[in-house]
Amino acid sequence: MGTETRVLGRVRQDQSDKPPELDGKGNVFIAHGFPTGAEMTRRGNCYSVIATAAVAGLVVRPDTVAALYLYNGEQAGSNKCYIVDRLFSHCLVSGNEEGRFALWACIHPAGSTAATSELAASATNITGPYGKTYNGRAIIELGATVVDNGWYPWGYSIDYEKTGVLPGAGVSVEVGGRLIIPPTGAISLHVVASINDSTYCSGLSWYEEEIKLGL
Amino acid sequence: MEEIRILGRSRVDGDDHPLELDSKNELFVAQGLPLYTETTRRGNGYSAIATAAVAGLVIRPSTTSAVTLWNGEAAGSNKCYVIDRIFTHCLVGVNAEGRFLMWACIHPSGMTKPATGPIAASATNLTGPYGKTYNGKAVFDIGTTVVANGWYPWGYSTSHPAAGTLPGAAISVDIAGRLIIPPTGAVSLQVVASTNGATFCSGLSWWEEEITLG
Repeated sequence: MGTETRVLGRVRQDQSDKPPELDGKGNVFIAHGFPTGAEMTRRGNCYSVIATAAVAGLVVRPDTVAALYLYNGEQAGSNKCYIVDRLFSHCLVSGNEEGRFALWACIHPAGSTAATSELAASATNITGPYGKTYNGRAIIELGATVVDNGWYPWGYSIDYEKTGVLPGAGVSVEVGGRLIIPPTGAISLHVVASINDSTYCSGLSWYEEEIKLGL
Repeated sequence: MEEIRILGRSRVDGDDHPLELDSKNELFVAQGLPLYTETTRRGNGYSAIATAAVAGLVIRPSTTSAVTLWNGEAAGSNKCYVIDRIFTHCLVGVNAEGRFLMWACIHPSGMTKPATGPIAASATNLTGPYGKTYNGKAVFDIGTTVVANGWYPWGYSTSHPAAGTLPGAAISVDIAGRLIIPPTGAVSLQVVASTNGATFCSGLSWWEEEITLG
């Protein structure tokens, strides 16, 4: 047997040095020092966008029109990716009858078309954590024509108010990095609903990080 | 026994600090990026969704699946499919109040490759992360006859509209690796609904990884 060494950590409460403790199978116990999103938010490269105008939900699976299109405007070949943290949508008005709606997303690969009719960043619709102004290269468009690169549903559907034309219903889906937008790639969002006269303001939150894609 | 204090480099001030413990000697950790960033970054995650809707069952599933994903890697290899999430879209409900729920069944190694019309990978129904094209060996099929190797419900049920035959309802369940498909094994998905007129496009996301089972 080789030399045995006991690893010590510093106990935050009394500043003594103690070995990290293990369970009966040798797994090290851990404790979250902060909520899981705190470090990512602290670094300040997290942003959110929400549509400034509501778009009617589709009653078929999405294909070549996006309610909201977010294009990664970083230089092709760079490593500045957008890591999607969550998706959300607010039902601005329902359709005066019972119905459900759910969010769908589509990732477009590097080399996709840049958004054209850009949604300008403002203090209310494209913002950073702790009030930081957005100064990145994301381009956001509402109602863009897109390539169908594969749409998938995210999260559970929910019902909107069935009596009247009313707001209040919403969905928020934890993506947790399962979607990554490469430079010159994009993401499209849309809502599929039971009827076509309910409207939605959709959006997402993302982190802008230098990561190299691939194994 | 020799004791050493482990130091880490602080991202904030660039200095070296000892790793910290709580009062029960549990190591403090912090999440640097969203939970699934690394698995997505590696690029071996894929998704598939049915191109045609299948009617939900009104009994527990047995020998017919709505969709089946078969692992076409060589028997005896370690290339497994680690399931990340399963989902379904109610293409049309029925003109009555109803609920629906997803069920899944894992088929062990040795399952015959599905022969009835597997869905070809395309840009729209079998895709990878950040737009990557699928070039693996998975076979994705609809309406396969399968062995009932044990079906279990996943997630919680939701409802479709009670009036009209309408779309819009959907389910997405985080599996997070609780299901693994070995080479020549498969997973089948099915929807159990309150009435038999509702139809569903089901699918799943998975990672293809070399792991030794057992």
